Amino acid sequence: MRRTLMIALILSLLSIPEIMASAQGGLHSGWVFENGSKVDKHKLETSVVKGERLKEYKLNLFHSIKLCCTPSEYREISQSVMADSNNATDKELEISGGNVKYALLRFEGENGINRYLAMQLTSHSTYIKDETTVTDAFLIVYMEGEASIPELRALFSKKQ
Amino acid sequence: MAERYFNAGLSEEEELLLKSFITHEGKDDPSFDEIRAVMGFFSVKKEKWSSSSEYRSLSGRNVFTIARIAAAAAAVAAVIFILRPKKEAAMDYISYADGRKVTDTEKVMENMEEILGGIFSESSSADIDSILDNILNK
Repeated sequence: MRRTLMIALILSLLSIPEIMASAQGGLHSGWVFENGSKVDKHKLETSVVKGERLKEYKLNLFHSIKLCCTPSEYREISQSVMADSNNATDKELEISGGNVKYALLRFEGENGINRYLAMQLTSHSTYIKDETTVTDAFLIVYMEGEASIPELRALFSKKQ
Repeated sequence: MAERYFNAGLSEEEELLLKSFITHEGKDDPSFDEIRAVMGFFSVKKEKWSSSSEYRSLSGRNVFTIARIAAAAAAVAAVIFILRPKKEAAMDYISYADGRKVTDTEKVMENMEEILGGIFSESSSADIDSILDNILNK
């Protein structure tokens, strides 16, 4: 009986990390989404969307972070994204001098759910007392859903 | 003695003696069926079950084992219930821009569409190179 209880307890404990794991689990760049102390102070904008409203896009989860960072932090994030690209099923990568300028990666998940990681250089405008400040930044996005890249491109490219 | 039993004329010792007789020596004698129906059924059953190893194992060790397995299963079920993933809300969003929380659902959706529009559309290569230069040469 003690043995049965021990096995049950061990199985329960083993299931905890899986339950607690974040959506970006298994990605090298997952740390950027998990409020890493290195990038937290540079965060300009973050959005997490999930639920009913995403169904029309065939997505389950959208998580974006817009950051400004130091050159060394940018290189570190860039390296993480490049490491993830090695495991991607589909990838579009633009690299300059060993740094990622643009990335769109698709990973095949379970039950037909795709996982996407995208990174893009962008600018961020801040309006304070009628004064606009433009900051160079980069955007990193994680998504999950059944939508394919052509479907997402068809949905969003025309909306810009 | 059986007749005296029905007339409530037996002493306690005699009643025990009668019970013992109809569940042992006289257990197959049909002439005692009537009295067995009144007092013997319980005795016969008790005799049958109390002398069988099945009864002993069911009433003893196995009952406790079943109870303990049930308790363990209940404990595991409770752990799984506590750790179950939270059910997804019909609409669950959160957005922060420049340290301010955005509470307007439509604005959050517009922001998401704008971001994905940027990712899935062609961008000017010159602009991107300029941003990269600025970030790397701070």
